[in-house]
Order: sequence, then C-alpha cells, then structure tokens
Amino acid sequence: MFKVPFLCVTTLVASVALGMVAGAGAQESAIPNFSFTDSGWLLNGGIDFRPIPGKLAPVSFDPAYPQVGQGNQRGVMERMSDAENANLKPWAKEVMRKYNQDVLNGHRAFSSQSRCWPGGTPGQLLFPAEPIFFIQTPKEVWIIWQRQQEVRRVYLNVPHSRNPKPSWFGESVGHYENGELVIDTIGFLDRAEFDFVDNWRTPHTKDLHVVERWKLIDGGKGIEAAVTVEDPGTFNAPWSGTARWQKVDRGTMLESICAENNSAFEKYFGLMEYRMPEAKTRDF
Amino acid sequence: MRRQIFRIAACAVAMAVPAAAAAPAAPVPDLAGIWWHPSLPGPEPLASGPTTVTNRSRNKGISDYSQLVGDYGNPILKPGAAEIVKKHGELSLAGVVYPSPANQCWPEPVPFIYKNFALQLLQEPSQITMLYEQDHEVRRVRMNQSHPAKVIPSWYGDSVGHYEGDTLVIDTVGQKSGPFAMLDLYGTPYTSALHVVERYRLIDYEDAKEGLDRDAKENFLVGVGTIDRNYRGKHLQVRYTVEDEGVFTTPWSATVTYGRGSTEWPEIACAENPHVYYGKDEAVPTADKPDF
Repeated sequence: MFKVPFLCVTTLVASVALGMVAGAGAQESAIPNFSFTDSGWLLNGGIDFRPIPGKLAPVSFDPAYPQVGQGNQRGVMERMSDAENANLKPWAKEVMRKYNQDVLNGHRAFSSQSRCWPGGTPGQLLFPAEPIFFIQTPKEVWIIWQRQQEVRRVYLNVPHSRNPKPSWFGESVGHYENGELVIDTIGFLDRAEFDFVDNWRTPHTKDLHVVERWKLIDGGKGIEAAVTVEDPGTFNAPWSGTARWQKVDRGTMLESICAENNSAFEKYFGLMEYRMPEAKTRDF
Repeated sequence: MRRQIFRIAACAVAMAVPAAAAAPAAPVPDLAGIWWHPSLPGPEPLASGPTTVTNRSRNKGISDYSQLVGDYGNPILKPGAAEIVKKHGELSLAGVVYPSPANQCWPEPVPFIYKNFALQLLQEPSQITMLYEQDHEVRRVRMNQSHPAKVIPSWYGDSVGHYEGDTLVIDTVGQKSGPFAMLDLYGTPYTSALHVVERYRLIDYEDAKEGLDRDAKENFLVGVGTIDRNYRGKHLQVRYTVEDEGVFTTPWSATVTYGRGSTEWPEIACAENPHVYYGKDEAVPTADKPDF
C-alpha cells in the first residue's frame, strides 16, 4: 500500500514535477528540507512544549514546586507536575498525583523511555540530548531518533486507515502545506499509566489525536513543530504548544542502544543510576 | 532549500555521469519497499560448500525452533567455537531458553539480524539506511567510502557500500562483542576480526525459487499473513560471506531470500514484549505490593 520508490530517482522526478529544479521561487518553500546525512536536529530550549499565545497551554509544573528556568524544580529531585490542571479529567489527575507522590517519596519518576519503550506521540518529540534525523521521500517521511533508533513513519498524501492498528507512535499521515510538514496522528495504544504526551507524565487515552506542523526556522538552522493535542477522554479542551530543534553538524547518526545504556547519561549529569545485580561468573 | 536543490542536482549528475561514460553502467537497482522473510531461524544454508550452522534438532524434517541445537560438527567451526555452540544446544535440550540478543532486546549483529522478518532499504546517494521491523533496529551504510583506519566498535559495525552492476555490496567490520553477542540463534560466537560482506540483488522468481526451496527445507516458515506466498515478482536475495579467523576455519556463505507481502510495517517494541506467540505467555512472578 505504501510502496516507497528509489529516493534519488523519485526525488528528482518529484522535484522536476514541482518545478523546484527550475527555481520556481513560489514553490521552493513548499517542501521544507529536514533531511541531512551528516546533520541532525537537537531539541533546543527545554524539554517542554512552549505555550502558544491565544491557545490553551500545555500542562506544566506543580505551582507548589516552581521550575527554576529550564532547570530542576526547587526542593525535589524529579519533576512535580501540575496534577490539578483544570484541563485534566479526574482520572488523569489521579494518575499524575500518584507519580508526584512517588517523587515526593524520593523515587525516580517513570518514563516510557527509561524502560526502553517508545516515547509515543507527541511525547517522544521532547526527548533531549540526542539528535533526530529525517529521511524524506515523496510518499513517506521517516523520523529517526538516534536514541534507541526509534523510527516514526509518516505516510504522505494518503488518508488514515479505516481501522489503524494501535501503536505507541500511532498512525501518522501527512502532507506539505505552505512550507510546513503537517502530520495528523491517531490510532494509539491504551497505556494510560505508562504513555505520556509530555515530560510531565500527562497520560492519554487511545482516542488521542495529534496534529503537528513542522517548519524550518532561523534560516534553516532550526525546526519548530507546533503541536495540537486533543483527547476528550483526558482533556476538557484541545491544547497546543511548540517544540524546537537546532541543527547540529555532528556527522551521521551514532549507535545509541537503550538496553546497553551506552550513552551513560549519569556521567553527564552526575547522577547515580540504579545498580543492577550482576553475577560474578556466567551460568554456562 | 539550496541544499536540497544541490542534492537533487547531485542526484542528476550522479545519474548523468554513467550515461556519458564510454561503457554504460548498469542502473542502480531500486530496492525500495518492504521485503519479507518470515522464516526462523532464518539463514538459508547453501547446498554445498562452507555454510551456516544449522539445527540438529528437527521437526518434520525442518529446524525445530523450540530446540536450538546448533550443529557443532559443522566444519566451519574451530574447536572453541564448536564447544560454545554445543553448550548452548545442551541448554536448549534441557529446556533452558538461553539469552540471545533477540530475547534480551539487545542489538542484533550482522548476520544475526537476518532473524528479523522485514527489511526496508532507504537508498540515498551517500548512504543507505536499513530498517528492521523487530525492535526498530537501524543500520547505516556509508556509500562509496572506505572504512576508517581505526573503527570504533559498535553493535552493527562500520558498514560501507557500493554498487557493482545490479548488486549492492556492503562490507562490515568493527562489530562489538559483549553480553548476549552471537552470530546466530545457536550461540555461534565472534571476535573483533569478524568481517561480513553482503551482496543484495533483485532476482526473478525463477532464480529465487532455488533459495526459497533451501529456505523451506531448513527453516520454520511463519508469519502467516505477512508474506504473499503466491508472489511471483522480483525477489531480493542477500548472499553473505562471513569470515572470522578467531572462530571459523574458513570463510562461509549463506543466503536470505526476501519476497513481498501486503502487511504494513508493524511497530514492535521488544522491551514491551506485547506478543503472545504460542498461546498464553509464561507467568512472570509479580509482587503483590510495590517496593515503595
């Protein structure tokens, strides 16, 4: 159904068809180029969705534990989320209260990525420290996270399936519109206690619907994605926010294996990870 | 956008140059789309010559996937390697499911990675991205480049590639060893001297049939619904050669023959282990109360 043609040939054909090679100025901005072999995009400016003026804001921190700049919240090891946010349905508040209590009890809070599970949509967008890479073809776009090589697929110019198979990333279809890649995603798993739309451990139901509008900013040195999230089972009203990435010329994607934890983030941040029990001798 | 135009222009130049050369070069093969090989353990042993370790445990003539008893008598194995394969087989016969990259959700080295049912190759002029469907494993192949003088070891190694006529050739060195590392499901080990050359080629069904027959003779064909068994179009076959003087007495080769299916790309998060393959999953001990 979603056959992907050979990139070089089809890019050329599609480009000629669009008049891009001819330098048709009006259409040059129609398809933003996010794809570079030796450059990726690193989340920039924090690990939260930024509010969009005039639109309902994303869930944020617990007012009793205010965030200090982009750093940690004062007085707690982990993030305390705004579990009493008025946009949340009661069950979602309860889930978030439970996680907040874990934090107050001195424990690391849960995240799906900490278990080497996918971060979901749009939660995975807010994974920091390691770049994302794009591969764009006329029929499909792949977004690949260096960390654990999470791969998200966006099928272009096709409607959603009648019955999408539920998944962490959902079923994403997209198209280009005025220089933006517009992605519409539905078809999520029902992992309410483990699958979050942000880094505040805000849950969702299987009825989550996410619309993203990705565009180049800063003369091509950055990307901004404006995200609108609706889920009548979780939120009283749709909310919106943005995330940004900056281009990083660090070469091609590195191997970053979650199970191996070979990025050793604890070294960067001076944290002590949980010690895993180890046998001194092998069993065979 | 300028870069995109540059890339497109480079694409055009790359395609134009062969046409202008004295000897017309074969067009770059279009390997796009999802390729399926839902067979376990996966490798197709050659009919003759040094070839992959196979399963001594058979069920109705084919590999018994519930007992992975590698043929430690395969002459490709040096004594030390044969002993490791033998011990893995003894564990399997005793009912122990020994750890492997697949069941521990660790990266699967080449050629272990052929255990995946689906493969997708994203061809660009300067790189090829290889996607495997189980646990979203991703390999990257740098095109028309050399291995660095000093390779930083990694699970998938350093892969460089080029086209030889209608064949995509991938050369991989620098695969890291470590916990659960093995070249196949029988526990065949490897060392830092491991060197794998893969040759991918589109072939007609008539040519693919020989490989598919070897596949059916050795492997447990699963994945009902993922592959079209009546597909008669172009197949993708990889013939790979493995050498590692620390483990093998000689270089050896095998194939994997991919076909087409109608199934879309699945999302499989290994760490989540959501699949129940053989009925009810084994009960895992759980605590009634959390530790905190």
